[in-house]
Amino acid sequence: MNWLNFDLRKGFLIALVVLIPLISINTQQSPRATGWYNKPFSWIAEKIQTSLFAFSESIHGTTRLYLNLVNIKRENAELKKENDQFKIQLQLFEELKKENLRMSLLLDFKEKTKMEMIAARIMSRDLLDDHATIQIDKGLDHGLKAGQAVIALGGALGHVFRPQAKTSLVLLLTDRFSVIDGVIGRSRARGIVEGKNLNGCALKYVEKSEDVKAGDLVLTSGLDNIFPKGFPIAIVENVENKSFQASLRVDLKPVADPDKVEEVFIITNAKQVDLTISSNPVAPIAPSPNESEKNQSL
Amino acid sequence: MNLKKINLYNFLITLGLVLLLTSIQTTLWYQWFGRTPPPPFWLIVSIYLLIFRQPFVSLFMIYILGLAVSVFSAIPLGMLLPTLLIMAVIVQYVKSRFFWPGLRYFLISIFLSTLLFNGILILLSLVLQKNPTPIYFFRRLIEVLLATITAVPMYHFLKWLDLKMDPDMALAQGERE
Repeated sequence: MNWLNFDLRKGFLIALVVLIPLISINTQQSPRATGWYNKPFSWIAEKIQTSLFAFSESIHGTTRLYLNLVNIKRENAELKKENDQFKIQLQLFEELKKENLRMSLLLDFKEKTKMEMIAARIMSRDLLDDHATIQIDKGLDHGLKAGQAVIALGGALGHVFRPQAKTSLVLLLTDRFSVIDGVIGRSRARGIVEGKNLNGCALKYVEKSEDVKAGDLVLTSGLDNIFPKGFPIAIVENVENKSFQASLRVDLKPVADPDKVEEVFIITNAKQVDLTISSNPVAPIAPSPNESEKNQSL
Repeated sequence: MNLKKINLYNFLITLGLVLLLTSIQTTLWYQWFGRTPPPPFWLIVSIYLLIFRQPFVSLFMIYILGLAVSVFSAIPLGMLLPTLLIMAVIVQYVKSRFFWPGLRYFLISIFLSTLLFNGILILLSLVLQKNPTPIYFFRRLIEVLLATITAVPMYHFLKWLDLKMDPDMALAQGERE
């Protein structure tokens, strides 16, 4: 072997091959730092990776967004449906609450009064506007008879006009053929309550000298033996005293509005109850027009 | 089936229909719409019978319909039946002068006949009753308009019923009229 013929180039390459791992071992001593030799690769890789990641993210994002939208839409629809159901349930609860209150008031009234009564529900109204009647769900089979008084919590409603087996036609106070003996609660002025039109009635045959004012409460006199004495009928709306008329013209607004009442009582035996002198708490108190509206809404 | 039987079945179905519609009018309409005037279904059927049946047959039929619907009202039969009679006579008289088959004639008849019915009722009430009925102009007007609108589907239904029951009779009526 001729050592003088040593290939310098070859030797350099061998030295490099040996040195590189040695250098790399040396760089292991500070692994957290990127060596200068790695920096260009790192820079390029970083750029590519960032771009790819951004691309992948954008695809992911779009897909996720789309999927989310679909899910959101479905969830929204489900929530809406659920919300609607809750709303309906809430309405039902409100209605039940109102009915419960109404029923407990009715029960309270029925328990505390001495009168014999049958509760009924209003089913329908008259076929023609010419007559003010309602149909209730109790009839002859339940012990009803023609002429029996029909009352609501707020006041008198009318009387049983034509009872049938399971239902009965009730002639309301506002019907033009309805007549009830009435008395003004404050001044005890007497008169006859006659129906006038769909919403009102009139107190007739009241002497001109009598003291009647708007806002007075008209009560049942009990003389007709149908209604208990002292039960509210209507509130005086207007009083006219004309010289050519023999008596006062008194317009009335019924205390109980059949359109706002759902349950009624039919008095089968009034037992001569006098609500004007009774200390019974169910004895109706003279309501103001506003109060009567509140009662009706119950 | 002979003609009498067909007429009887047809009338029984019509009667059932009137009772159903009147119940809807007095109960469901009242529960849903309160005091809003309802369309008078029974009157529409009565006028249909007056127009598309023989005079005496139709009069007999509307008397029975009147009797049936009187259970839904406090109106005395002494008021209802004379009102129907006067209306029937006027409708038959007009029909003998002017008639053309079809929906338009029926709608005009319904509009005028419901007006007529209310007018006769008010007049008779003024004459016969101590406490005459109030006029309730707008309520009655709404009722007349609702009757005219409701008459469109009812005409098609009643015509369909006539054709189903006996096509020959329905066609014969058309020719006769």
